Amino acid sequence: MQKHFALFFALLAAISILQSRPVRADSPAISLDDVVGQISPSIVTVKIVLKVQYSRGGESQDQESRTELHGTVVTSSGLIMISNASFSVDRLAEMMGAPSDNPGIKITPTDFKVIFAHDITEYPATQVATDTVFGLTFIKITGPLPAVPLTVALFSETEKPVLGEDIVEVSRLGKGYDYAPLIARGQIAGTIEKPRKAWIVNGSLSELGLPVISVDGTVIGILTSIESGVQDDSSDMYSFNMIMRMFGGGSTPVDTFLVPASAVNGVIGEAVKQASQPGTPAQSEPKLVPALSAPPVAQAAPPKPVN
Amino acid sequence: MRKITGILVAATVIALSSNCTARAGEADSIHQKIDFARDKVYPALVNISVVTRYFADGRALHAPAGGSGVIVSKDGYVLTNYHVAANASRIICTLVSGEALEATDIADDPLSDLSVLKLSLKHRENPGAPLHFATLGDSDSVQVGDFVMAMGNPLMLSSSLTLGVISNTHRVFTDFNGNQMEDIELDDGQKTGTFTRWIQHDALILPGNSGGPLVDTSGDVVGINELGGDGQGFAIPSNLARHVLGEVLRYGRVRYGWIGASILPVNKLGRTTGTLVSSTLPGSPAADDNLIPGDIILSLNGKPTNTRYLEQVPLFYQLIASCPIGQSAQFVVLRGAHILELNVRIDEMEKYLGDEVEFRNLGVTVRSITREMAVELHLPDSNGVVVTGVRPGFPMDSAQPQIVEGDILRTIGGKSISGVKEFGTLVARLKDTKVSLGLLRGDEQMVSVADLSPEPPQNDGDELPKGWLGVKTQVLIPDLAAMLGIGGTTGYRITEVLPWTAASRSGIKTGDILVALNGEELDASQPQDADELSHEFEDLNVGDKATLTIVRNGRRQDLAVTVEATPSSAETAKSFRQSDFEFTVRNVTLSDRADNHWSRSQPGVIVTEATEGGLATLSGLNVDDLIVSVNGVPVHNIDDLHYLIGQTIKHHEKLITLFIRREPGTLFVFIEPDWNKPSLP
Repeated sequence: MQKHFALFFALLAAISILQSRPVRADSPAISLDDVVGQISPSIVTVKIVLKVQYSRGGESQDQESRTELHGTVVTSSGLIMISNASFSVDRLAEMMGAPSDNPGIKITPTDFKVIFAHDITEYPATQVATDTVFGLTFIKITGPLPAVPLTVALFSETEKPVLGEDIVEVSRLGKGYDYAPLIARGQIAGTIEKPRKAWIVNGSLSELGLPVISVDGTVIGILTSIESGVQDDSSDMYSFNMIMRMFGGGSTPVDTFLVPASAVNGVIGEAVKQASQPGTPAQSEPKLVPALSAPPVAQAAPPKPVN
Repeated sequence: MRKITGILVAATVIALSSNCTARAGEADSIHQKIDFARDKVYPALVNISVVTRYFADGRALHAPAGGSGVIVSKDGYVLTNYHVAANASRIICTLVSGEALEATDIADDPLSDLSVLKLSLKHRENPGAPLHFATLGDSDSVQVGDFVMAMGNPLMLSSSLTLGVISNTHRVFTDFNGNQMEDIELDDGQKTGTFTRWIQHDALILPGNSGGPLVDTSGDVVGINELGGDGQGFAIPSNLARHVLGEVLRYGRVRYGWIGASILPVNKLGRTTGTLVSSTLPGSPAADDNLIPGDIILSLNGKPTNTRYLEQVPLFYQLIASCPIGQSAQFVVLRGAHILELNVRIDEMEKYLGDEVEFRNLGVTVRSITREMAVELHLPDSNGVVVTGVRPGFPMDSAQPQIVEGDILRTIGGKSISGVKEFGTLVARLKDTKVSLGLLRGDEQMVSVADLSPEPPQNDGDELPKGWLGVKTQVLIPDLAAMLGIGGTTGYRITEVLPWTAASRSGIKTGDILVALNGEELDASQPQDADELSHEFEDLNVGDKATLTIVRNGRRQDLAVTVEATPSSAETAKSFRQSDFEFTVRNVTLSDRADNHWSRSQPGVIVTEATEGGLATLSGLNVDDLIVSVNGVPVHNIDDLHYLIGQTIKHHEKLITLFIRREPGTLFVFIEPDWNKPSLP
């Protein structure tokens, strides 16, 4: 009988050990309600109009369509960070594992509208900066800001993801659900050093560009896609990638990683600087400007035909 | 016996040869007729190229299209199909001689699918030269079996002729069981064919033949080709075309009398006389003046109306159409067992769909409501406009609740909208940017609020500056290091040094082995280390000095380099959209120069977009062209291009010459704007 009890308690101990997860030192976990309460005000919905241009035979046709994604407020003056994966042809190709040389297709966002939770007002915004390394675009609200001060997501400078720790991502449902916050959960499942330092994530986190939060409510990074950069000589790699996406565990795509908040902070800092410079309208005041200050090259002026 | 055989053989040969001679004579005769008809009509044939406007997703778009036409007067009037020339923002008619002339659309008639154009003769190469024109023949005189020729530009192959015979002189289109006439719908949704009994023939008709003449052996035009397929062609009879032309020349448009009644043949009732009324449109003269379904119309203005078969239905509508508009016509009607005399007012027939217009600043396309549309949509009247498209991101898209295709806008800012023109006027007069829009959606009466203030222009989102080294590299894998005699070394082999970069000025060369950066060894030795170097540079500050340690010819040496910012890529290079000629250009990047082996002083901007149907595309400008100069003035960047094109627009220059580099050669593109044409709304 004693032997059975001992076995029973040993099993219980084993189970509890197996179930224990790493936690941050000196960082008590907070409830998910608190996580949502802290971070969700800084998560906004961004409606984007995309112009997809197809060029063939020298001519272009374009189509306009709407898309919606979520962004993060990074300054109280209305600077918002979003992932540009949905409008970067190269990024889309990377994620699909397909060749990125699609010279005939160009995707341009032509309109941004920001919606803060529970507020039906759509705030127009304009692009101010792009970061192709992490696939981020920064947009700034152009008109008056909401009456309620904006909640800014603060990215930790020091905290780094811990292998095995639980993480959370907050996004939002659509208009029909009053933009209610939605939590996705996962774990830090590993780490990569190449092609850059990042953490592997598993679980149901999937939305790129949004802050990833540890159980103590610290913003420890963002999700982004990282291309391996290695040319794979398998001719089936493209279809393999597709299959992996369809049948891979959880819903986190296989090439989605967590980059640390400290790296993102640097990018945000540059974006803030760029956003504070005078805006560069897409079509500025024209004037004939002098040639590049290059050494003159003997070159005949282009001939003008006789009418 | 031999003699008889010989005589028989000789007689057979003589008979056969005379038969062949007769056949040859007939063939020669037909050939001569074809030659005659060709020579008579060919010089009047035109190849029509248009830029046609169509609407989609809340905006007006343009696309090139084409067809055929025939000159029918010495003044340069041209007949073609409505579906070729209507909605065209530009029409060019090219004669058989090769001379290209602009044309104006004088009148469009969707009900007959005919348009009348007028050639602009004042800019002819030889203004005194007579203009050949064709004669409209009598389409009622053609018979099944007659030889006919279809002349036109199939597949835009100009001046083609195909030969066939008349298959049917009174073709109408019915439903599968032959019970009712079937509507023919044109590309823009208009209905046609009410008055048409097509001449069916088997001369080959292909896309591009539309609007071209069907010619008999006398060289007269007996039809205008409209439909075709599966070896059959269908031409609008020349008598109908003559009527349309006459109306246009007299009144500037085509007018048809109309009472708003639909009819059917009486053969199913066992009758041989009369015309059966099958329906009357609510609010139409027929309904108002007591004509009801089931009535048998026996005569109209004293003339018996006998519609026994479906092929006779268009004849009845032609009879109504010829009645004077605004007056009453006398109908003798059999209703049950009684004969009634009714005076029915004759109104003017409207086309099926109202005009569609784009309001570009609002991002919406709307259409006027015709009587027929009002009945189909169960509207109380024709007031208002139908929303046909809302453009994403534009002011009308901001309406809450959202305005969608199919909504009927009845009021704006509290004021009633009678039609498209008034909608435009009311919008232009709006003082407040937030307006109420009264609309009908099905049977619901809704009020939406929209902010119609103009959208601020979008900025370019410039790439954030990051440290960058202007070289391309390959990883020094162990085998390669051993081959190069530097086994055990890790790092990168330089494969290309990009010109005009800090890297090129540092002295680094192709073939150098980069082993350390700022004193720290680079431990790259596997393919997956390929991006390490660029990541290292991204972490450096732009403007800082960095030290590159290289191995060259077995010796280590340090090179100093200034960290520069990642140059613009094609995606992030500044761009400019020229909206008058509809193309977009961007600045040339370092990569463009390196990839194309262009010198640093090579001027130019790269075309990234050339809208289909836009003037730039029609002039021959292509995506990826490098515009080197405008009217001989070099273009170094998008500001130059913006300025130079702006000057040509300001001075209304007739010819804008672009010198283009289109690898591997160069060419000129000539843009010839027509400053007299009104711009799109």
